[in-house]
Amino acid sequence: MGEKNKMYNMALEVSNLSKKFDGFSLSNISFKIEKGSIMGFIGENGAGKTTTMKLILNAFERDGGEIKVFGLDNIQNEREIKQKIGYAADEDCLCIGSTLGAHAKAYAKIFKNWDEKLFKKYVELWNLPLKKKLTDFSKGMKMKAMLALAFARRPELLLLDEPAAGLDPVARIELLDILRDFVADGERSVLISSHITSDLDKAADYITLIIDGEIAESEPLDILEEKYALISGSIDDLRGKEYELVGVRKGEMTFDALVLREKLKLFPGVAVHTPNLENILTFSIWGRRERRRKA
Amino acid sequence: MKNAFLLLKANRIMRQDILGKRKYFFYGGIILMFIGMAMVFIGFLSGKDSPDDFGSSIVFLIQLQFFLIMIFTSDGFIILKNGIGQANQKIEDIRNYFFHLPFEFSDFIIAGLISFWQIFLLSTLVSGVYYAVSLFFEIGEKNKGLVVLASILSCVAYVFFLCAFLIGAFCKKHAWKAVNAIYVLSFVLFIAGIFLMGFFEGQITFAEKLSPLCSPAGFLLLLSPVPLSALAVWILLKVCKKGAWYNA
Repeated sequence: MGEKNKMYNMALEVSNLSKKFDGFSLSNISFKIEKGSIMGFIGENGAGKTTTMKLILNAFERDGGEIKVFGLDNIQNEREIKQKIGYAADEDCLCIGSTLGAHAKAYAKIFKNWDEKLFKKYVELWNLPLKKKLTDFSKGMKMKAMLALAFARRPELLLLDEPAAGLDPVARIELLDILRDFVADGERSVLISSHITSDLDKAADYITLIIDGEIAESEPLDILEEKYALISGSIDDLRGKEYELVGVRKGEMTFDALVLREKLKLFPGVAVHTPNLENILTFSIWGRRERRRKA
Repeated sequence: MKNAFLLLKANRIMRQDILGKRKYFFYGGIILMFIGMAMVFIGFLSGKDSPDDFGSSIVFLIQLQFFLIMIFTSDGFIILKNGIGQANQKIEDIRNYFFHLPFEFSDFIIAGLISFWQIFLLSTLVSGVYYAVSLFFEIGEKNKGLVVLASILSCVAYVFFLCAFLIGAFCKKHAWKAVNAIYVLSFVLFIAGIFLMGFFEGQITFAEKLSPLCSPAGFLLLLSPVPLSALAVWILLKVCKKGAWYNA
């Protein structure tokens, strides 16, 4: 097994994954996370981020495709893989009638790599009460409790679904620092979904953008930022060329738009800026909505 | 097997969460059970009780308490709630708690079986409680109707229980088919058991009454969960092996 793992530089490989629900489908999505990297997973609410994470954990039965975690199929090797995955989510993954201490006690028996010292470190850092019922925790405290439990498993892959939700700014910054330390050894990786794109701008190495159950982008963050340009100018500058844009937001006289850098020459005279992640996300979604409306 | 026991340990947290104040029934039941058992044997060994009373009381209570314990105990209660498939927040909470932990579908099946037999053994012990009461009020042999009632209850109980842990937290489509098949089998055995119970009731001797294993009716009713459980596991591991935690 050791030899087999050495061959894999990938922490996670999702290939042609599909899942249909009533009114929503995940369509042949594919992306990869290299060991030692943080991938930001962005998209609107209901785009399929949580579904993808749950499919990685085999919570749902997938309709097609393949998921490999450290080269192992996630269904055939479910137990082994889940020992290597830490998971924290915006929704409650804890028994809220119980205490954090009781959870830690159970997790210590369940997870082979459980690190009690590490758990206590986060408990102290975030001032989490061990004997208080989780029902009495605030949303932010519950998230911190889930993060403490996830990190103390000493996972090789962290799946964090909206961990910033409910966290105070101090805890959010601390979390980003912890994540950077987490992947520093080059062996551990993170898949993190968040609506706070400024956090991902700071922490993520790769970005996967999912829109309506389809992967729109999955690239290193720096390449993604180089790939696009944010332009602004007069509405007249757009005439007859709007279809060349990724997405546009128009005022009465002016516009802001996201465009592929290679198409910048089509828009002479406009102001050009480097887009941030929020620009790429929002303009991509607006563009897709507009194309869908026209179709 | 090891993973199934780990799952049961993980389930303890959920048990506290779901049981809430019902846990006092659970602990109270266990205490009463041991007191009752002690009284049973003191009464029997001291010669105050007739062997026939002892036998029929045991048969009755094994079955009645099985049902009651199942309702109030933890794992059974949780799995039952799951199995009924109520689309409420509590079920979602259970799934959210379990799905990211390192267990497979088969672990849950085996854990369900283990908890099933834990309850069965507990119910056997609790039979002493009824016997103690029957000694006190001088009932017992006079209450044959209750024996049949108890059989019905126990059958319903284990059918519910089997359905519950088969469907489990996962609601696999195929599991429903398995449950339907087992439900029919359980019902057939139940009817057969009741007929046999009535047929043999007037003829059984002390030896037959003393142990359910010696009574054809008792044997059938009390041990039918064994082949059914085995069948359930076989079907589930064949059909649902490596299945996801639940269908959406």
